[in-house]
Amino acid sequence: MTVDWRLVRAESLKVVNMFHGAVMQVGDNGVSNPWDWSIALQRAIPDFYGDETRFASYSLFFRPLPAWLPAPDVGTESGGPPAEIRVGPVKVITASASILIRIGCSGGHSAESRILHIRQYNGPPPPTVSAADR
Amino acid sequence: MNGPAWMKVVNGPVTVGSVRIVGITSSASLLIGDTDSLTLYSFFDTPPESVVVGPIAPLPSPPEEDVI
Repeated sequence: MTVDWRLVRAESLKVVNMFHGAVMQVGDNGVSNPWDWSIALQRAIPDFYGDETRFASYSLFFRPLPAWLPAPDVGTESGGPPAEIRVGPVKVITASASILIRIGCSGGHSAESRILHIRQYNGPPPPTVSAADR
Repeated sequence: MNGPAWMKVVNGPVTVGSVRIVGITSSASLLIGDTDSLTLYSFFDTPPESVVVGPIAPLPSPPEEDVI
């Protein structure tokens, strides 16, 4: 990590809705690698085919990750005496697939999200059922 | 300048007043602090034969106090 530890003082933290690779942390951590693969399929006429909800059916989920372009070497050095992080109110409404919300210090972070998203409708989609009606 | 470049970072105290976000997307991160490296990938693929009409799962309106 860039620094050994941090003392965090957060006034308040309010989040409504995170998503699949979610991490929410107040404090320090090492390396984190959240990832998320999603297939969303919604169709007006339910004529679903056998393999269309399998990751193996779509090349998107097997494409290699983009590689870094060659760049000159840059040496880095970071650190310092332990210092506080002070944060006032934090509000978040929604985040998404591979999200991370952290207040603190950490090592490397690498997140991956691949979403295939098929919707076939000729008109508006059906109304969603609210939790109160279930 | 001769030789490899060198960068020195001193991580000092951090003070943030307030943060308000409505929606961050696929490989999103919100970090208040320090990290060694940050690498985010995101792929999104909707086939051309799809007909997209309206939101798939409409979210309820945020509370009045959170409307920007």
